[in-house]
Amino acid sequence: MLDFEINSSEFISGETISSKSEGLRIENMENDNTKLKIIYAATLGTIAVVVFIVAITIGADLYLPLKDWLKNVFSHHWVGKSVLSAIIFGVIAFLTMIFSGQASEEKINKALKILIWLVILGSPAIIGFFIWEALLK
Amino acid sequence: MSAFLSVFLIIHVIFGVVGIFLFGGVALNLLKQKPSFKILKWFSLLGFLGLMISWTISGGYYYVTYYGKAIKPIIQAGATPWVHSVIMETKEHIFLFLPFLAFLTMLIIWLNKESLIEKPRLKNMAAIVSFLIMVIGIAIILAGILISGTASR
Repeated sequence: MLDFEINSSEFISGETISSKSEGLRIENMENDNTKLKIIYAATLGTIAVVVFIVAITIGADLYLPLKDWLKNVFSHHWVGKSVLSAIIFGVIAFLTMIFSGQASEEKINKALKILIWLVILGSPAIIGFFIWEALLK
Repeated sequence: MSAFLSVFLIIHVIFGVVGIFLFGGVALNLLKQKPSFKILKWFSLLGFLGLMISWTISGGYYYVTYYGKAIKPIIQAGATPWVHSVIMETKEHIFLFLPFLAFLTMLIIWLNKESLIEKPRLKNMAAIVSFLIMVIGIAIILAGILISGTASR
């Protein structure tokens, strides 16, 4: 009888510990997924910013009404590019947080790879454009 | 140039250079097998803040209020107008990548902390992004030296 009582109490406390640790495990997984989602959202936001900066830098010099619009609205074309970059980052990151499902390390690594290539290609695209515009055009 | 703007220009240079080299430190630390997360956290945070200060309240203010009116005409009238039309134009636009790349790197480090060791691919990606910040940053520093040198000749 005594043996049974001890076993039964071990079983009950074992079950409690196991369900508690299960709860913690799920909480940790949710926390980890939220963190991964934030990083994924920030990565997509940065990708959008890099594409935007390259596009607006070249676009505003080729199509002067766009540069004038930036000057009129933001007092200086560079201020306009800076403010719009920050807004684009915020909007894309926010939309990704809302609409993207589960984030995974693999998804983030893929997005980071795209970002790295965009920065590597975007920087020479900008300097190449200004060399062409100033010296070769 | 007024004393006020001189201070802004000095702040722009110091915070920009410090921010860039802190990300150099982040890149090197991330390449280690056992990085110091205390260093990574503080270097990435201070590096990001340095770049933000260099971008907005110091560099941005100096560039918008003074450079276009006073420095740009001097360079354009000199023997090397391409220093503005190629170097300065490239510098002011490519710089815009850096605060966002820095913020992203900082997020990766602060949200993962020690568990980043268990994610070696993410750790390496963060190292590459930090390395890019440093390389682009050094190019921007050299461009700044060239622009200042041309204007003061």
